[in-house]
Amino acid sequence: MRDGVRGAALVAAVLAAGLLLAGLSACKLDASYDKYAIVYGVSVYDPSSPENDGPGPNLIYPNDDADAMEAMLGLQGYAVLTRTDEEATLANLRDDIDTVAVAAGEDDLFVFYFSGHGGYDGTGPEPSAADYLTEWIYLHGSVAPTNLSATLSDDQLVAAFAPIASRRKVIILDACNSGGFIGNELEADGEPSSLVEGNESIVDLAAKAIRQYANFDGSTADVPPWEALVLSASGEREFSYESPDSFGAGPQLNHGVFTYYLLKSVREGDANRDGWVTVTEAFAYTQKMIYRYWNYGYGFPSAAFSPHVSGGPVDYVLFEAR
Amino acid sequence: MLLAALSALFPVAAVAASPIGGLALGGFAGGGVAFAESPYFPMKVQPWWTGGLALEFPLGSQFGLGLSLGFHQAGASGMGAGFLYRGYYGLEAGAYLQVRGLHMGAVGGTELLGGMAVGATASFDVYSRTELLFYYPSFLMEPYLEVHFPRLGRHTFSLGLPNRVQFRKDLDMSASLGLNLRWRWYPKWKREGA
Repeated sequence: MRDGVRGAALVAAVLAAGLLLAGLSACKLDASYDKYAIVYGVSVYDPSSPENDGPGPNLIYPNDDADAMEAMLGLQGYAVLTRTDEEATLANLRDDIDTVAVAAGEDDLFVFYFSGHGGYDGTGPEPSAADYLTEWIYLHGSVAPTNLSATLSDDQLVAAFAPIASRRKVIILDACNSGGFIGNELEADGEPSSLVEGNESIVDLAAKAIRQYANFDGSTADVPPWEALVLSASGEREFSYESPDSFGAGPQLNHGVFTYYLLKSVREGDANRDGWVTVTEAFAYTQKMIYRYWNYGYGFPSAAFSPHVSGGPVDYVLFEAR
Repeated sequence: MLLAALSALFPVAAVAASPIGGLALGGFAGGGVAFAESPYFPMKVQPWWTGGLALEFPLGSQFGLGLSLGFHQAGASGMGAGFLYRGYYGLEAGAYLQVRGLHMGAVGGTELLGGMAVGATASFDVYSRTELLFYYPSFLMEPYLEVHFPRLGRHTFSLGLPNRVQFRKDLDMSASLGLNLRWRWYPKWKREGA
């Protein structure tokens, strides 16, 4: 009997020590790795039109978004390659990827940030995680919505970044329809692909989760979490907004709405106060702020949108909270 | 086969003397550590806790069938090397076979009984700070000691060591172990004819 009590006490002590270690290690970050970022922003797709051309192909703030991201990531210790407007071409992106691929090792962190137009070729949400629809970002040289000569699709993005050896890749997209880049193979996203069109029921989501579990075979579609974590500004069937827009409407953020709050997440997004902002924390913060200050304050209902994030069991440290 | 093995381990004669048994309602709460290892990243430890309700039906004097409905949560792992395993929480429904044996006798009216629960659960979880819902089944094995103090009427408490293997398809390994405190209320003792 005494042996039994001693055994139980020993097990309890071991478990307590395990919990303590798990808790203590939560605040430690072995920063012995390098961080690389490629930052692209395209405001001007058609040089013959003004930057602020209303319903035309050009946008207002993506180049400012890219400059602000470059500054922030630089302060965070990232080695940053930035291209805006006419420099943000497909050819330059491939060159920049080659440059990072030479330097980045397996344990390093790589971030790709893009602000500009996004699009997709479907009329409905993907019926499963399989890649029935293709989404893309418009680099300079293409003109939304029809000139696709310099676009990069979800599948092409995975292939394009393959030369970079880092196991930790993060793709941040401030673009319309960017949620469609996320290839969650095992998760049913309760955040709808279009807020305007509404949610799936919890029963439908649970059934979808079971189907995904049963059908999972490790094949890749879109950008699966094990290739890169995607943090998208909007859902697959949503626009991503900049503010104020080309008509002067909207709060004076002077950025893409998503990028504005993503930049603020460095200071305010550390939800668990451990000194670090992970991809998931940055997502949660930008989503909360967009709901609070854009969707409920301005965008509802027709201009409401929501960021999305990749699934998968692993999360990465993105920023030091400061 | 499993029943035969467990019967050999826990002989019927040993529990015959115990009053503990019969239909039981109860609740449980516990915690421990979970281990996760992805194909791309090394293993890390996550804190884990659970709670829920259970209904147990007797199957003869030695076996029982339990049904449970519970909540569980795993905290995020540490973030060494710049990565962490996400925290998650969710609901689980389980069924388990209960084998009772190892009646350790009564001291001053206090009864002590050893047992084992073996079963499976189906879990629907959400990653913390997201709306990403995912499903996985688990296998559970929990040896336990159940104690009955005469003052507590037909209430008992047990302390178990739950070991769980989670069949996550995006992890090479997902398992947990911990301590589980369980309360049971027997509307009727088995010696009362249940």
